[in-house]
Amino acid sequence: MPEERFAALRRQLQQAGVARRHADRISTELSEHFEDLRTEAEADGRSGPAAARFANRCLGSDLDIVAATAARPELLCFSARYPFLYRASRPAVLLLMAPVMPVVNALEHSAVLSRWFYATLLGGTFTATMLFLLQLTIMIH
Amino acid sequence: MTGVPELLVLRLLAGQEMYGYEIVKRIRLVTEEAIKIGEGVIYPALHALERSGSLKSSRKTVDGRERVYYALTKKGSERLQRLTADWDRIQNGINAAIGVAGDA
Repeated sequence: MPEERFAALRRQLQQAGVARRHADRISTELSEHFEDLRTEAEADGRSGPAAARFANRCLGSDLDIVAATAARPELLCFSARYPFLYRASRPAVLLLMAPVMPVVNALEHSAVLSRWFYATLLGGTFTATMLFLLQLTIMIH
Repeated sequence: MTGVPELLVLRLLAGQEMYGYEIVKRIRLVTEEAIKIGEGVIYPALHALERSGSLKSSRKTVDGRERVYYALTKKGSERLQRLTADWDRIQNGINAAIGVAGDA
């Protein structure tokens, strides 16, 4: 299946250190190219499976595509392009990000947090009301 | 992609904007299939040229199909001129060498 091929290719590109935006775009463009080749082959009289085989052959192997992409440093992500700098700076970056990350996470999960807040507020109000009524009952008797 | 395929891509895009499949087909046509490049490896090359500022891309829908069109930038035109001059120099050098070898 072509979709599976291009999804696998996207993963292979990322594993080779290609930046995600390039991996995504290259696999999308290749899948569009595959469709053009298949359409052309079918118009030339090839059957469906034969047209797909022809299109796969014209595109070349995934290994060649990954190798050609990974050979271009400008298409690699920071960690693959500068591995030493990435490893050396990672502890300092993580230390700097430590106080910021809870805030970022809270903003990202604000919907869940607000639901949790209102549920706690409701539960607290209910408990306080019950305790108040209990106290009132004790005082009356 | 340094050299001939890069020169071909930039030269083709100097005339009009094209998408990947169109570029590969046109290269096959203009070179009379003398130069065959792996169709899948054209995209890393196009992306690298775009990253260097020689090309710019835009997504367009044509006949119900979404395509990424590539066009030459000013920087790309300058690069094309440089590559063409380099190619002329190499070609002249090789021709001269062949001539010398042929005379000997």
